[in-house]
Amino acid sequence: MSFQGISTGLKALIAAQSSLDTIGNNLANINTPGYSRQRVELVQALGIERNGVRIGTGVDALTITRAIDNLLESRILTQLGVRAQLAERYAAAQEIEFALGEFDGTGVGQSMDSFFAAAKQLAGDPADGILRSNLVQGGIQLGQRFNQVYGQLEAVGGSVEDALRTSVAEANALAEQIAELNRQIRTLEPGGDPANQLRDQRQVAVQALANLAQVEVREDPDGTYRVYVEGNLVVAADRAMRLTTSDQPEGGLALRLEGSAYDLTPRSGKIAALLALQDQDITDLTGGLDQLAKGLIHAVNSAHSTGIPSGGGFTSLVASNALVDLDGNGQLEDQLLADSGLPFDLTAGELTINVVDEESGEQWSQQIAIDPATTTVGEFLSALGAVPGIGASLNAENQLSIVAEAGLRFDFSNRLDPDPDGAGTLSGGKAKLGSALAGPYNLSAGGSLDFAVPAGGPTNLSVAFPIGSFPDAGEVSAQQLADFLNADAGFSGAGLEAHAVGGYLQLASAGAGSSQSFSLTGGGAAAALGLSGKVGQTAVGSDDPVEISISGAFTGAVGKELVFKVAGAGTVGTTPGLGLQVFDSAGALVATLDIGAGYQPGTPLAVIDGIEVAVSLGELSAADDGRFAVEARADSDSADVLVAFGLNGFFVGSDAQTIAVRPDLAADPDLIAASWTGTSGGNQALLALGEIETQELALLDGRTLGSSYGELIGGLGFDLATMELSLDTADQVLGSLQQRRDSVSGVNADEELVDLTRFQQAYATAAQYLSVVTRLQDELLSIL
Amino acid sequence: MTIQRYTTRQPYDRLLAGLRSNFARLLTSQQQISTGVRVAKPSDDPAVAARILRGQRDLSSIGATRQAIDSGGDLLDAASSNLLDVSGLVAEARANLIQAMNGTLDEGARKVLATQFRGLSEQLLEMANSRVGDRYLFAGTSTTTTPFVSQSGQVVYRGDGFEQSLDVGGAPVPINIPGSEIFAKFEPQGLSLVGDTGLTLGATANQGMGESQLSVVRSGSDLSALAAFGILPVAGGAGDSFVGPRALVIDATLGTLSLGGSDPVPLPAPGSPEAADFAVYDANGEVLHLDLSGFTLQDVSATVTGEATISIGGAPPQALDFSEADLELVDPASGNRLHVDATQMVRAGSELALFNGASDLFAVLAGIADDLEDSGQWSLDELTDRLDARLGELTRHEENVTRALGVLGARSQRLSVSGERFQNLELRVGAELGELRDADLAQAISDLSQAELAVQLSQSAGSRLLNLSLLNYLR
Repeated sequence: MSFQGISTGLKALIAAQSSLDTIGNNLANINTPGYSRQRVELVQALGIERNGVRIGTGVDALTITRAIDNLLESRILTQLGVRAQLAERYAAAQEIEFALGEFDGTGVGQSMDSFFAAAKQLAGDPADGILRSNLVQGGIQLGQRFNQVYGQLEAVGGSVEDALRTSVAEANALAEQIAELNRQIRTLEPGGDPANQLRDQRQVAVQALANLAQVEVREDPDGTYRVYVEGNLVVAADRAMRLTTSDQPEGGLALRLEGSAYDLTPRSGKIAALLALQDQDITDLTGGLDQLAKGLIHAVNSAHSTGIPSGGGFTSLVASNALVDLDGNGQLEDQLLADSGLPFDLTAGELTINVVDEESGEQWSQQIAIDPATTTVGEFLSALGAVPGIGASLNAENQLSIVAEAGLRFDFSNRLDPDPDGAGTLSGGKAKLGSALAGPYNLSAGGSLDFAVPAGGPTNLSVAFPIGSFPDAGEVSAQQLADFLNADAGFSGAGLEAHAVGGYLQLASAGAGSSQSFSLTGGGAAAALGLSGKVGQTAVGSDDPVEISISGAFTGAVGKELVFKVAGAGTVGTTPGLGLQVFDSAGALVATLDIGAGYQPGTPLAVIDGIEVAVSLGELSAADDGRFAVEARADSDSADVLVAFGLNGFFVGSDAQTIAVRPDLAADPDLIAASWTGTSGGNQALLALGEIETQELALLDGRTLGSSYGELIGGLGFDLATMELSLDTADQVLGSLQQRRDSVSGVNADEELVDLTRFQQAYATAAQYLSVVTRLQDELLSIL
Repeated sequence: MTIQRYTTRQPYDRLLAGLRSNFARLLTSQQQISTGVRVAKPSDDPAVAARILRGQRDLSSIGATRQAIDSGGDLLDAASSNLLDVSGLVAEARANLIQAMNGTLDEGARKVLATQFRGLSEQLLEMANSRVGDRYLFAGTSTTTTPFVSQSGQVVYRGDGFEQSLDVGGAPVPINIPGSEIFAKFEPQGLSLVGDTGLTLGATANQGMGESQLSVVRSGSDLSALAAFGILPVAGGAGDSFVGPRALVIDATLGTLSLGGSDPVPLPAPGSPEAADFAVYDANGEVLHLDLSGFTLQDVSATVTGEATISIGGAPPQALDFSEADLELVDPASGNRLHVDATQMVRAGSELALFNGASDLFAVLAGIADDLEDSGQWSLDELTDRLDARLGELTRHEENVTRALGVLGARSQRLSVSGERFQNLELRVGAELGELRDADLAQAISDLSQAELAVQLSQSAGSRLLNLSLLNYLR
């Protein structure tokens, strides 16, 4: 009996001691992060039977358990991932907002404002050197601001890559740690007690991992954790898989398991945030900035490239955009303009090039038709080279280079040609005959035109149009016909020339004066060419020709081709009823000008849309069907060729990284192409530049520069504010979960102190009992 | 929120959390107050951020337009003030001209007036080339080239006719008037011939600018048709003054002679001294001297011609064909092409061919000065006619300047109205922007006090809890 008492007493002592030790451990770890309070599990020891009575044998300290709620722990893991993701994105978004510099005065918006303000000021006095310099400086600042903001965004992007690699390395280290802890736990636990300290440590590691990526854990019967990262098993028992980054084809990184061929799509945690930043947030912003810069460059260069600097046209121009050999065959000239690697798109349209002889003041223009889908680079180069006085080639850097012959200057403005009838098909003293019909002409029946030229002969000649002379004999344009006639040796040898004016065929003698004459004697093709009324008529040159001059500036919104024809016959300013009829390209009569009696020869008459024509003293007659055409263009570069190649632009580059002011312009502000009329104070191009501020641009999807920029910035602001709110909420949810965990697993000093007192008394009581029992034993022994 | 268990950490955690959030509010309010701005970055109030951005763009654009209006207005004012002076000078010229047409002046006085006109022309040339800074006011858009240049006696316009416009958010306002519109406005009304030689305008139109001087000089009398009747010229026709064909009719029966339809005059007695040099006058009062000493006393009906040459400007004279109704003359210096009718010639003399509406102001003044300097060569009537022709042109120029002043005034008015409108717009947009961006100081200060109070309360409450522990009571 008494031996049992000792055992009971001893067990009581041990139990109290274990509890006191555990309480001490709890108190010591009151501030240790991740610590869950421990409790000794006390159970009654099994009783033994003695003398027919079951007597308890004391208390057993079974095991020390952690107070932990596993469901709560797993919810915390989830919330950690959510919060970490939001925090990371929010921090990066704040950095980006700071880089954009609104509203502290360093944003792109303010630079745009200054630039357009400078343009408006310069428009008031285009010849002022200081204002020119201001505009160039404004452009430089704007370009630099774009570059800087883009650079800062790129820097954030660069740091994202570094952070990703670091986080992945961290995750791998944590996985290794968990695996090691798993091994230790598996070794220790089968022995009996749960390895509380190791489990706490493992939970801390798992939580650290949950900050990085989405984590789920399952406990195996042997006490080890299986850890799933983004749905994939990463830690099983004592083995850990490694995560790694893989390079994306479009730049940037992705997450995957080492040895796997598939990328993971992280859904929460810091890594997910970094990937979202890289793939979405930063690309959206840099994309938006690029679009803004491109739209700006396109609009500004469109207005600037058709302008003329105050010093006059250009003697040479080099494009700032290079052609790219996209099909890789080493040849550039065979590529279509649409597939030549130019940063801006071309559209089907025309380019007008004007050439001026500086000494004589003579001016000529040519339109080059361009269709990017069918015109090749080589064809464009030859078309440019075909303009008298102009040479075009590609330089060593694959850039287009246009050069004028000595003494000539060229430009691309929409100014009117002051001498539109250089060929003399209405004015001038040549003998002339014109067709009554406009092309295209139907020459499918072939035929010929027969002429008689009295001079040096008389010479009778016939020009035949056999089948096959033209690509489509049913639709021969006046220009094709004129080229064919001029190429005919007999025709040109007899001193005749053919011209196409406004779509009509015009025939003329090469020389001027009343000694020049020719007549149309017949020919099967005369009727098809609208010349049947002229058969048998002799055209005689004039000794008293008129001179036509065009003045003014075209103010219409859409380009026009006007064809002028004589009505009546007689002397300018003298014969009543003599007039000029003006037709548009549809053949409708647009204006009739009275140049008969009462008209003072040489006075400019208003035609339409700001165009004026003056006719000098001389003889005119409607009988010869003479015509001349005036090309008035609203947009002299309707194909956007100049912008695409970067000729005479204000900016170079095509996106936020490359935008800058053209280097030679930055060095010499006098090269600003302000005028469309060629005068030193002309400001039409600058006015057009100023209007860009409020225009809806196609490259910005129909938005203005201001609203496009506002949407970019405002969008970021909204995202930031939303993220801030979400982060707050996530913080609060996490906080409340952690509080609940703390309620379950945290240490309460007062509780422990109470328990301390309790078990202290239990220990004292047990000691007292033991001393009583040993004294009883002594007494028993003393009996013997 | 109910907590099942309270742990020692919780009061510390709560205190820290409370302090963190209240301090954040405090700092926000402090920043608002010290910067005066509520929305310092777009995320502070994203709904408003886009409107702020738009407002900033608008404000800047308005500011730029206002500046442009101001400088445009300055230009218009400078041009107006110059034109006012010009107008005064032109009025003075006109007054001088009217004075010059006064018959009481002698040659010397006219010479003095000529110098005055040249002086006025020089002053006007200076005004026409007036500048603001480096910019010529009246050169159209060629603002760096001198608009009016004196070249071999003529003033040539080197500027252009384009207008420079300002965009003020409506129809563009031109801020200049080209010099050609003020001093050389070209509104041709036809040629007029001033003189009494009997030349008139031909049928064909004339082309040119300014003036041309025509000169008809007598080269002799053709009395060949009278030789048969024994009538001879006197001194080779040197004393004759008629020009053109005239019918000479002698009625031997009545003894009268009529030249060119004049009233018949009685013949001198044959053999009398008069007969050797008989002066007969035609209907215009021009004289023909006849030597009738050998007159055969028959009826005569013949044509006598006073021959002459005609020259224009400095060109060599050409013989005048009196059947020409549409003779073309080309002035070698200016290229003016005139057509004259020589069928009604009267006498020799000068004709002023003036292109009305096509003479610039300087050419008119030069022509007046030339005439006044050399006024002796014309009779008073001729001189008055010539000066009168210029008066028409001068009046036209005076009206042009006045009209230009009116146009400038109207544009200046438009600009000033636009300027006011933009000024108001600027104030309004600025105020809207301020409302959106700026901190409501009263609100911010109240927020600050509240946040401060919250911080203090959480600190005080927290510290009270921190001291609660069972240790205080256990020995």
